[in-house]
Amino acid sequence: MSEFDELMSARLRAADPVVGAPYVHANLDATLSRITTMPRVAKVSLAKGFKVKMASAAAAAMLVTSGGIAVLSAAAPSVPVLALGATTHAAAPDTAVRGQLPVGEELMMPDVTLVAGSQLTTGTTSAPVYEFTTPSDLTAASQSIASDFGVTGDPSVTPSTDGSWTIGSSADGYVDFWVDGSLLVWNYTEPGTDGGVVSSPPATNATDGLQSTTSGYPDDAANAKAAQLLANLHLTGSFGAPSFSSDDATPAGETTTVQWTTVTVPWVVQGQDSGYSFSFTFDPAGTLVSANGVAGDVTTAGVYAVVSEETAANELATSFSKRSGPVVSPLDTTPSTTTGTASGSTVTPETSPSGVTSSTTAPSGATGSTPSTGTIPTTNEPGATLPQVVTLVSATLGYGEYTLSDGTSALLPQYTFTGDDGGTYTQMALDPSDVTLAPTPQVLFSPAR
Amino acid sequence: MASSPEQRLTRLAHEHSTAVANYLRRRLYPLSASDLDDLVDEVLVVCWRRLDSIPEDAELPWMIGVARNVLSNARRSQNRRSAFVASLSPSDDDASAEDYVVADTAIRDALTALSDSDREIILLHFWDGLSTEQLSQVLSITTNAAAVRLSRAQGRFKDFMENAENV
Repeated sequence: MSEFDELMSARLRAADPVVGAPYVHANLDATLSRITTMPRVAKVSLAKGFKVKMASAAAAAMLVTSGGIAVLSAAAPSVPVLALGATTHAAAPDTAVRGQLPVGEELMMPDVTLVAGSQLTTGTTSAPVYEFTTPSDLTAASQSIASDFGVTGDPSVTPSTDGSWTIGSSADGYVDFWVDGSLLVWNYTEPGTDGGVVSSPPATNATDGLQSTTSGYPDDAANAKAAQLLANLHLTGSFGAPSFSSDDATPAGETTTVQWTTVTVPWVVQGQDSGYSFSFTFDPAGTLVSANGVAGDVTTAGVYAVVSEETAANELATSFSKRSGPVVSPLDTTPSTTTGTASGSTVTPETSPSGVTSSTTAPSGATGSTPSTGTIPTTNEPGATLPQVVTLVSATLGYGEYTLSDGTSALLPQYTFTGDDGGTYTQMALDPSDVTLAPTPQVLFSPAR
Repeated sequence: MASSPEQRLTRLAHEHSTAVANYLRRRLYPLSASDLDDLVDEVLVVCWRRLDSIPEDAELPWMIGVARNVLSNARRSQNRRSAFVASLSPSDDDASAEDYVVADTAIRDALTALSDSDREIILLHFWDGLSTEQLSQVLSITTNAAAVRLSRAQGRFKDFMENAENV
């Protein structure tokens, strides 16, 4: 189509959540002074600079995910003290915070207080910790993975991005790579496509020319092909139950919409969900359109003491309270429990001693106050806060993926608490004498997708 | 006269940090001011380290591209944890940043109905204000492909809007 309805454009632009809420960095000059003391990466030619790029990619990944300093306990543990970086726990209370940003109002965390419930147990236990390791030879590992998809060649630096590289070409199919934590992440795209979407304009009108939808590749067949590809990766561990989804797509140069089938397979390590998964997308003919996953190894780092549910809940409550602050005015929110009065003056500390941050998600079916369709929404009154006390009533011990301060990642014991608001909250469960969280928070949360 | 690396980074920060911050704010919500600053700092650190690689004629798209990677890292981490948590407690998989901040129900629903790639290019264009050429730089595709993707995404967005408002 050649035009976009003006009213629709206006409504879309009016829905921009940051309109009227200007951003001002709290301390940009000091930040720049600090950054400019850091080493820079010299520009290198693609021909001879690939190994340098590899190293810088790993360094960049570490830079993004690290920042913590391990503090050894007075009583040396029987296993090495884990140097846990400033990663975050993804607490996800089911508290609705909806509304457009008021003019001049900062985005702050909701004023939620967590309390450990009497139902939580006080017993301690121990559990193994698993560490992920990067392939020792990234070039060889990249080329091996690429060859699994029929792509050969030397790696080249990916333009317009940082810390990634590519083998192959759009014409022949390609695989993008980067280091995330301590694993090599790969993403395959079939020949002739452009990131899984059309790479050239169709012969007819892009929208009006779409004719029909072709049924997708059967789930069972997709799963069988995915299993073959996974076997080639020689990963430690096993794979969990696959899940399937479908998506409409329009192949390059065609006007017929087809259905792509995607199979997603979780990576299971020592019976634990590693948090990583593999995804394979097929067109109706069973041709692999795209795929992504990780490569690396996993080892047992040792068996560590695990704190009680109550201790972990109290730690979570303490760190959570330090992250609370006023929230933007909700359009329509009814918290399950409310105490106190709206103050709008809570100050969020610059740093969190535990590095824990939190996020909120809207409850299912939340509707909020909405303007009638066809109108441009208005901005809400600022200043309202949402004080709320949530009691943690149950806990499940499992694992969560964390980044260590040396840039590697690990599966650590983690409690998942359920609050009386129905939300879930996670807290790393290792004994504090074995690990000290770094003071600088890393923002690693977003609304659940 | 050519500027020093420090002067160039300072200029980049003052000229584009707001755009970068807004890009991140639109996609991570809610987000505290200090956490937002931290994310912007991550982008600036990458800018500093890769200063010689930043094309002078495409500085903003390059920085948005870095912010996009920072965001991807954040979401991958969150998604991994979310997947773990989801195995224990069902969550609303359809929730997205737009759900929290977009008051226009039809707009929100249409954005939610779009595929990730359609929604991304729509928001980059209409919220982040990127031109077709800049979209191509951020998404590492040709300008032609960016134009086609945007056009198709607009078409599908409009279809969703019209269907929703005709119900």
